[in-house]
Amino acid sequence: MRRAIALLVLMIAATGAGIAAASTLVSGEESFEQAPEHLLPGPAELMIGAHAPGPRDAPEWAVRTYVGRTGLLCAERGRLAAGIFGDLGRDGELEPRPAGPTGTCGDTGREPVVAGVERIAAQGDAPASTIVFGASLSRPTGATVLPAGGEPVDLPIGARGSFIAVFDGLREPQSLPLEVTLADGRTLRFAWTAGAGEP
Amino acid sequence: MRTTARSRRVPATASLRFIVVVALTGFLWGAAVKVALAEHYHVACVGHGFVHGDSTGDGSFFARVETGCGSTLRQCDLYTNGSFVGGMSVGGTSTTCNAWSRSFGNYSECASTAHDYASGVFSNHVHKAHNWCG
Repeated sequence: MRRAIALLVLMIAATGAGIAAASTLVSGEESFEQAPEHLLPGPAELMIGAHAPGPRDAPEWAVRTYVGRTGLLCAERGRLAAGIFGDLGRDGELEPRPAGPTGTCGDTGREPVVAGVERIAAQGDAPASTIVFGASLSRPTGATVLPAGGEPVDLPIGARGSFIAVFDGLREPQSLPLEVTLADGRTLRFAWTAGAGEP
Repeated sequence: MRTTARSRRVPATASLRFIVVVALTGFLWGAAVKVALAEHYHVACVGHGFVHGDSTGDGSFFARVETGCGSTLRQCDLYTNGSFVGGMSVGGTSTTCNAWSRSFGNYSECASTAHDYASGVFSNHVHKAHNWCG
């Protein structure tokens, strides 16, 4: 009887050891549940920057910037009404966006402009949109989107060198190349294609 | 006497083998569970996939592609029930692609997928939610 109990205890211990060993080898940590440091806002202020008109009577589109805990510059696109930056809830009301790992972040020591193209599907009465936005700490003096087959669109520059432009419908990013001119005279081009023309 | 000695050795050997088998089974089981749990996000030179954040059921989730490995263009899109809801493309080598569900609307987390691409690293492919219900 004692021998059987001892064997049972050994079996359980061995199983636990096997699981623990496998867990350690397969995955060091469940990082997907933790917000990564480089995307989380640091102590510097989150700043609402450039903004653009929203569809019909809906809140404006806007860019908010922050500096991540590891020093990256982050830009995030949201909605803006009465000075509040956030997102539309189910009832269409603006809900303030809490500070979190919600921005797209880049190392401005390597590339001075953080920029992206967002494509948003139609939802309810809200039409589909394609949005070019970004920010730079290198004092950009101009940002221009060059739509394929269309007139160049100059974007106003907001706080922390932020900019935003909104286009109707879902468009391919490659059809909306972006040029950003910095205070030192450099012009960076984002073609949104692999390998060519990126900063 | 010989018979008695043999009868003591045989169970001891059998127990040892049994424990080894159990430990191996536990190891493989643990590995299989871990791999299954990690399926929605993994590292293939750069980390990417479906990121739940704090909870798998709060409607706040991401399609994300980290930087690195020479990638000059990254795309991260979100789909719910097989339909595109929103996504992002970023250029350069140092900017993370990070598409957040709540910035596109209100969507079911468990019925959503992240479609990720990093130029020169991996082609566009799908990561399902950890608690997939689609």
